[in-house]
Amino acid sequence: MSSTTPRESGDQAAPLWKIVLAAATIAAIGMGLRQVVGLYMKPVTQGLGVTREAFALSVAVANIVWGIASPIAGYVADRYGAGRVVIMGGLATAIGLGVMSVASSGAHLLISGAFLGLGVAGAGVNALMGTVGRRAAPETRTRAIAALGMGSGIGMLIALPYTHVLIEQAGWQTSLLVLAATALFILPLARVVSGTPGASTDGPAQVAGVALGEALSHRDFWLLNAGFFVCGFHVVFYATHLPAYVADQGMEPWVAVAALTLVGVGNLAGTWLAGEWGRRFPKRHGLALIYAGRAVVFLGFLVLPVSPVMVLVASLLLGLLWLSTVPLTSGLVATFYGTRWMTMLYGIAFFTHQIGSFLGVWLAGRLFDKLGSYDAMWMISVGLGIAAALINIPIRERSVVRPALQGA
Amino acid sequence: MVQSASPENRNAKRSGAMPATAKAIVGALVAALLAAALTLIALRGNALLLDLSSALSAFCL
Repeated sequence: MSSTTPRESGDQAAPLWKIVLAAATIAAIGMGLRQVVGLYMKPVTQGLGVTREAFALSVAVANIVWGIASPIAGYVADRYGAGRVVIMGGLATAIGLGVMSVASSGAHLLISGAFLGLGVAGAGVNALMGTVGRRAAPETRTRAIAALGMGSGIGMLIALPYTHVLIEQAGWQTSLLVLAATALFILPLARVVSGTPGASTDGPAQVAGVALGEALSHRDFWLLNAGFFVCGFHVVFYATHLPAYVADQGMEPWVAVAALTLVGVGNLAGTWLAGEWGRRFPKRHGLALIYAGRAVVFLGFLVLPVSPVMVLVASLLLGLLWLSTVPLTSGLVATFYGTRWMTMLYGIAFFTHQIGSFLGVWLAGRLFDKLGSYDAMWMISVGLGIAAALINIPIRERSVVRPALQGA
Repeated sequence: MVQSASPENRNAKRSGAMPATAKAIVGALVAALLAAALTLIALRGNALLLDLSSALSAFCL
C-alpha cells in the first residue's frame, strides 16, 4: 500500500442524497446480480453436464475472492475514490455473467466465479461504505449507510423472482446475457460516487498501513469483528438450511418461501431501524440488542412447538435483526478511526463475517449429518448470540487515542 | 419535465436534503418494484423454493 497521502481534491460534489441514491442503486444491482447466481445451479449443471460440486466450487471461489478483495477494493476506494472501484465491479460482474453464459466446462465456471467475486467486491455495499460515510455528517451517518443497505436489500429481493422468470422465458444462457447487460447500468452511476477522497474531517491524515496497524492492535476492533463473525454465522446457517428444516418438520414448501421472503422484507425495516438507532443511541447497545434478540429467536426453535406460524414469526423477527448489524458495525468503524480508511477497515470486518458465514453453513450440514437434527445448531446459535451481545457491550464507543498525532 | 419549485424543494436544495419530488418518485418506483417482486414470489413460490434455497446459500457464504 502506498505511503503517500491522497490528493486532496475534495469529495464528491453531488449532494448527499444523490450520492446515497446512486450508491444504493449500484448496490442493488451489484448485490442483486450476485445473489441470483445460485438460481443457475440447476440449469447450468444440466446444460453443461458438470457436477453440482463444480458449480458450488465456482460459487465458493466467488465468495473467497469477494472476502479477500473487499479490503483491497476498500483501500483503492478510500485512496482514489469509489468511482474506479465501482467501474471495475460493474465490468467484472458483466464479464463473469458473460463467461458463465458461454461456459462449456467447470474451469470456465471457476473463471466466472472469480470475476463475480471481484464484481461484488467492487459494486457491492462494502465498496461504497466510505463514500457514503465520508459525505454524511456524523449524526446522520448510520442513517445514510442504512439507506445504502436498504438499497442492497431491495435489489436482492427483486432480483430473485425476476431472474427466475427470465430463465424460464429466455433460457439460462440468454438470461445471463441480459443480466450482464444489466450490470453495465452500474457504469454511468460510478460517476456520481467518484472523486478522490479529500482530507477527512473526522480523522487524521493517516497512511493506509498505519491505519490498518492501528485497527489490528485495537481491542475494540476485535470485539466488533467477533460480533460480526457471529452475524455471518447466524444469517447463512438460517438462510441456507431453513428450507431443509421446514421440509424435515413436515411443513409445506410454501412455508420456506414465505419465511425467506419475510426475512427479506424484515431486513429492510430492520436496516432502517438500525440507522435510526445509530443516530440516537450507542451503536454497541444496538448491536448487543440485535445479537441478544437473535439468541431469543433461535431459542424459540428449541422450546416452542414448531408450526408454520412459529417459523414465519421467527423469520420476520430474524429479518428485523438480519443485516441491521451493517450500519451499526460500519458506524462504529467510523467512530473509532474516522472515515478516511473506513471502506478498507470495514472490508477487514467483512472478511471475519465471511469466515463466520462459511462456518455457519458448513457446521450446520456436518452436525445434521452426524446427529440427524438441527438442535445442536440452534443451541450453538443461541450461545453465540449471547456471546456476541456480551462482547459488544464493553466496546468503547469513541475515537482511538493517538498520542503521537495529538502531540504533533 | 420541470421540477416543482415548492418551498419544500427550495429548502431541500439549500440544505442538500432530498427534494420532495425526488422522494416521491423514488418511493413510488421502489414500492412498484417490490410489489411486483412479492407478487411473483407469491404466484411462483413453490417453483422458486429450490432455486431460492441455492441462491441464498450462494449469496450468503
